[in-house]
Amino acid sequence: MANPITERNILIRVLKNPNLMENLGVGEWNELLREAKISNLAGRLSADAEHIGIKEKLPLKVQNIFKSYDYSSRSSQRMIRWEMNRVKRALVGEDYKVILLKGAAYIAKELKCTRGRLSVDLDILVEKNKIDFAEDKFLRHGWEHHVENDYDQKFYREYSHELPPLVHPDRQISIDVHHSILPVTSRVYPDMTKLVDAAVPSVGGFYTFSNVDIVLHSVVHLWQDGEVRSSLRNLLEQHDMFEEFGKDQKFWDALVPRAVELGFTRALYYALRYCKMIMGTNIPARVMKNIDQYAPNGLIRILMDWMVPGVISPTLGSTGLSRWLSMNGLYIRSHWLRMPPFMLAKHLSTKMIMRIKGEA
Amino acid sequence: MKVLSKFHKNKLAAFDDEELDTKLSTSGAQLEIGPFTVNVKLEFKNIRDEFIKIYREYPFYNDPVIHDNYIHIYGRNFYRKYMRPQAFVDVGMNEEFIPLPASMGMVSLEMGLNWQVASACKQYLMFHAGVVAKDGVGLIMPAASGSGKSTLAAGLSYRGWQLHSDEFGLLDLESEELVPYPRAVSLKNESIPVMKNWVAQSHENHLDYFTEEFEGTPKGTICYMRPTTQSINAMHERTKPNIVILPIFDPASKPEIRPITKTMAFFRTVMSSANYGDIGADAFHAISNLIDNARVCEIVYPTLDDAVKLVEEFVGDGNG
Repeated sequence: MANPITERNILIRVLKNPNLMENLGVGEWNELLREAKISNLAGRLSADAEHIGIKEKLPLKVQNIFKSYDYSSRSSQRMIRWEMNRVKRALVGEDYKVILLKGAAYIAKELKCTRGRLSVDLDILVEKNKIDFAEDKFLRHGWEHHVENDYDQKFYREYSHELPPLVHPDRQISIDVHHSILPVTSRVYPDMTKLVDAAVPSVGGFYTFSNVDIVLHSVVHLWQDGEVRSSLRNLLEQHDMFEEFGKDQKFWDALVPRAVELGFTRALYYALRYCKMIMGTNIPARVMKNIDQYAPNGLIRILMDWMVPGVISPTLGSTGLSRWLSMNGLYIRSHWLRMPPFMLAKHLSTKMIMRIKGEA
Repeated sequence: MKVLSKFHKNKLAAFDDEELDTKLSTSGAQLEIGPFTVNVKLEFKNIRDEFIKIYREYPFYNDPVIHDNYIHIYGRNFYRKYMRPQAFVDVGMNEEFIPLPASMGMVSLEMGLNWQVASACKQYLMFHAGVVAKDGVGLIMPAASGSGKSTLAAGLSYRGWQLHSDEFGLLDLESEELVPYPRAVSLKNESIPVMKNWVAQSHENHLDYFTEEFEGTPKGTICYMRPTTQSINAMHERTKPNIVILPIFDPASKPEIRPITKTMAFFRTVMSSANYGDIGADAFHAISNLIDNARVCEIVYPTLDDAVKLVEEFVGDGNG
């Protein structure tokens, strides 16, 4: 089921098989480094080379370049950990769960996908009835709102699933405080109490979702709520987690039923399909068979198979009209899934008018 | 030249202007500046001409090598290429620059190169400082923009010092040596006539060392100056840092050398370092060692001539 477009791509080939780095020519290195920088994956290549013990065999120029990315990923993760420490001081210790999401959760759990990863924001989640309380705590402890303009502030509060981003002026980490993992306007709206109840204790008094829920969150974020284009890094993190958590058969047993319970089956279908197609992920046949019943109709499947591999990396695939159609097709799709049509039209036109007036 | 890898064994080429122009407009010219190699592609003839004027003495690789970066300046479409030419900059890092008119393309190029180093260089400890070297003396002059450090570093380089950089001082964290990165010197506003006059005092055809003056850029009038041939040829010669001078330009002052504590010098050097926080503990140790082993002072000066005399005086005191 491998895809011919992604199969040719040097970055994807090396991510799948880091040993290839031992025998690359000059032109291949330049192409690989260019793509890796654009996809924010240069640090990952360095970590992979280190992990399989071939770093010293690489050209000295490459070792020198990798050294820079090693410092970047280490420092970004150090900053996230420090910010967690500050958040803990401001927020944790009350009688409610503060749940680390995305990169912060991966860092707290020291997952494989944090290897060489650049993390720039901190995402946390509290239950909706605690969101005002949490915001008040942050503001009292010196964090400030990053978004000043009234429309954006109002939009966040009424329709989004998170507070407007908070930033402490001494540190440049943006914190997103969520009460849900999807916008309240989204087509699929999960029962958040199910996710919060299943959350497990982690470092420093924080919680994380259960392993299955961590994966499903990443999956809905990319395939339901987010943009598919230029998201190779997110696809890779899903691939990593399927491989890492998947060593335990119980993970696979729980995955599809949990997706059914939360309403995430379509997103999970895409994640499993494209991880396998593009990254060659090991997924048990029974899981693939089980998720197949949630596939979209044939036409949509053909469209997605045509669009996704061509835009998953910013440098991939076709050029010209077909690329434009793929990129914009997936952009409109992501917004379509986020909010009802009338609201979408109103939102996009308001943003456009603000841009024309130079307010945004 | 230090051989970096099997890919770097190929000869550096001495291209003539015409060959360089062809390279720049096709596959790119592989320019080496100190520890970095960048592939430069320029679609506009006027930018190539300015580039060649400044960089013609630099080493260029003939056979393909692994690049640290690439920079590509182009017109986005027919209208932006020929009708109202505008220089778009691609630095391969997912960043978008506000395009400038193509007539200011050299400014876009230099800013793009600055941005690449400022944002992505963590393998060397970086100081926002003028750095020069002579006879085993490695001199760091950390300072904020507008303190005259660029002019001072450039001024010293046209009086026998080797220019490492007028604003990106680099330190190798393992050998603790200063790594030269002699880019074109960026002169702004009042410093332009000062430097033109300065170079004219010691060099014939002094205008050959400068680009045209670009007026109305986001930073006012900008002019680029070529480093001395000696500085370009010495771009792989590293020096241990042993003097730190904090320069203060004040037109109303009396020239003066002021003592400062090592603690103050330490903090000012840390503050000048753009990637200190990213490098972390290694950076702390490197700057601690650097300051432990360096003589430090502050100089206040009203003119470039005074500044150069004060620097020479302070450096000479240590040797005599």
